[in-house]
Amino acid sequence: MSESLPPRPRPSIAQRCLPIGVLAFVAACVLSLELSFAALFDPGAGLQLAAFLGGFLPPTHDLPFLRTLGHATLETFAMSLVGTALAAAVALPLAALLARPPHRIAARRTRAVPTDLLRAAGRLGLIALRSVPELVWAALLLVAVGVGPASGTLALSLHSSGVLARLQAEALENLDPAPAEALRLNGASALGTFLHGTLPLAAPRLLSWTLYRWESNVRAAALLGLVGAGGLGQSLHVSFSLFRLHDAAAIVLAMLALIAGVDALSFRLRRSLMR
Amino acid sequence: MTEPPRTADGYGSSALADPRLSRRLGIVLLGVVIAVPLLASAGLLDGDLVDARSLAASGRFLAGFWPPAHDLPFLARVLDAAWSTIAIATAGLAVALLVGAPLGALAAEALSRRRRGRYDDARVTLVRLPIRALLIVLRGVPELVWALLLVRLVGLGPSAGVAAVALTGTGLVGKAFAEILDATAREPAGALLDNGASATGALLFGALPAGAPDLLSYTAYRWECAVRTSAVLGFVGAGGLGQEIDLALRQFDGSRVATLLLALVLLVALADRASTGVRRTLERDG
Amino acid sequence: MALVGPSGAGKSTLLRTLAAADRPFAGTVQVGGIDPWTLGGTALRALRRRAHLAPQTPPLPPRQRVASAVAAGRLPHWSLRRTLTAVFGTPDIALAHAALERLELGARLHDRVDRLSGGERQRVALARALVADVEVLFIDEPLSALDPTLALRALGCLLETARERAATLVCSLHQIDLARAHFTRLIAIRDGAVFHDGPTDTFDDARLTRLYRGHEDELHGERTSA
Repeated sequence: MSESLPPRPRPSIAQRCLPIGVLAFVAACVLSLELSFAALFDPGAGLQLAAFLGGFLPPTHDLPFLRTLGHATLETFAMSLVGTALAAAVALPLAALLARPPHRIAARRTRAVPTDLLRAAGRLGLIALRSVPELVWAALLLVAVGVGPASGTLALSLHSSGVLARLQAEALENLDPAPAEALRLNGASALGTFLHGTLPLAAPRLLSWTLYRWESNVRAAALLGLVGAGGLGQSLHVSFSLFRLHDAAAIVLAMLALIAGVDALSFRLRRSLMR
Repeated sequence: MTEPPRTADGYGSSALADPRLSRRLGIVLLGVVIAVPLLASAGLLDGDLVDARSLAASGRFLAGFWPPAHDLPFLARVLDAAWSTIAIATAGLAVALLVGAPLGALAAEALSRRRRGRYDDARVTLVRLPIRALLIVLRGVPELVWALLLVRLVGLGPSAGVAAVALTGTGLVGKAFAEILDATAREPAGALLDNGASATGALLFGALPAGAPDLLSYTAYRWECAVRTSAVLGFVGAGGLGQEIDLALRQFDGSRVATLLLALVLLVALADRASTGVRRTLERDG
Repeated sequence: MALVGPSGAGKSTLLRTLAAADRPFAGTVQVGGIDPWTLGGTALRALRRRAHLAPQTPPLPPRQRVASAVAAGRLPHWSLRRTLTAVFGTPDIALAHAALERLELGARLHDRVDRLSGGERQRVALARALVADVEVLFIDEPLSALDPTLALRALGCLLETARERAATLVCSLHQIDLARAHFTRLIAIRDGAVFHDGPTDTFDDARLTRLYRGHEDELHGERTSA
């Protein structure tokens, strides 16, 4: 029986440096910013804050305002729905083209190099669409289409196309190739194979991703208005600027209700898809 | 199996009518009917959506994208704004972890002592339920709304951004940590509690070792999301790249917008890479 | 004492109830003359510290090192300061190593739990029980994943430790031979009720057959091995 303990394994250099490195990084971040929360700790600030927060209640609930609120809610809802639907419609062919074989449409091209380059370029394009946040897209589109929900709808479509195309491409790649192969070997065209072999198999998952995206988009849609893209966000921005806090409270409540509603609807639909 | 009756085109029409066809047609029709008002609401059916004037303006704006602004003073500003964005995200997430992780541990059922005996201690529930409610509220308010509010309280600049990321982040981190602990730590922590260990002991020797890989992986993912979010907080005045983009847009300066967009895409890609890298290293050796 | 009975008889439930881990749905339990479920949090914890319960499936976090996993057996007795500083260096590591050595796992002290086989993990859980400073050891199926030779040795370690500490060892076993050979008191359970409770030698073969009526396959499986 050995008297001494087995030697303790020495952690690798990377493992030792990582915690210190992370802490140093966080410290650098905090120190480099000129943070000033002094305003919060000001003696009068507590009272000011309480007064400020108290100004939100009760939320406005007179009829004319509620009618405008309903209109804005519908606008936001429409923005999210149309934006997501457009994105899904655009993303599907993109995903079909960019997914790796055997699910891309042009399954029998023998000249590999140009298609690979095109595919790489396509993926980069999608990354660009995805990396630019919806808000930035909306701000850019405001220049082109002006203030209003259109810029928001299009912004959501652009961003979501990038996200959905990637998710859908992955879903297509992970699909069982047998049904499509069977059709193709029997001489079906590329489009035919896709529509009748791949799509029926992939549809539930693709729809599920789309519904998931809708949930995300309704939240985004509610906020896009802050830069002028219509819907509840715009109303919120206006009411904040005019210091109409009661209105703002009602708008935020409407946002929460809309988000909860869409979440519930999406959940129901996704569940029925899985059955 | 009987043969369907043959008509002139070779197929029996009524005998093979798809019973689901009428239902599908109904759904499509419904879709078309509600599509029109929806599209109108979404603003896509406006006649003046793309008129000659706005097209000309957009054309000029887009033309300004090339070449992207690359004078050194501006590039320095872009770099500074990019660092600000990362710093806001990191600082905000750090606060969110400091506050959210303990809250998540408190909200998790896995560490609840009395529950081990199938007995719901009122005291524990009194602590757990309000914490869960608080986490739900914090989570539900988007960072942008917090930022909008905070800019009025602490002024323009990164402070509002950090606070906004911290507030929503606390809710998100707390909920995720509670879920991870409940999923991985029940047995290890429970066994220690059964043997009379303190909650702290069960946490350090049971819950954390069991949940660590998932907790760290989630933290990396949250950081990446925080970077994306921080990039847009500037639009309401909370600092970072967003503020610069907003400024450049107001000035209709296409070349600066182009540079800033490139910087944004690169930043997001970088954060994505870093986060994926960390998560893969964790999977390998923990 | 040995706790025996066919599968589903309620051995684990009984162990957990005795250890004041699970509260009974009906009826009361008395441990040391007190009903543990009337105690406040601190008192209940103090009571639990006097016993060690080792569940059937080793409750070890997969990525924890064996050293920490075993030392956790002494965790209930550490002060708050010791618990916190344990993050930097496992206390009582020499004790943990000694226990592992007795179970022939000394070399695996610094390995990760998920790199061990099922039998090795079970032995780590037993090592944890060996280092616990308690009056009673409740061990649920300590030998299920061990081959007969190792099982005998492990059981020997448990009995030795219990004797050294003057602690009571309560094991649930389905290896009847080992139960009858090494334990002084035998409790047999069937369908959730106590079937026999007394010195081991009063438990004859006739009773054994009646105990396992309807579950003969479990009995014969044990008889034919070793």
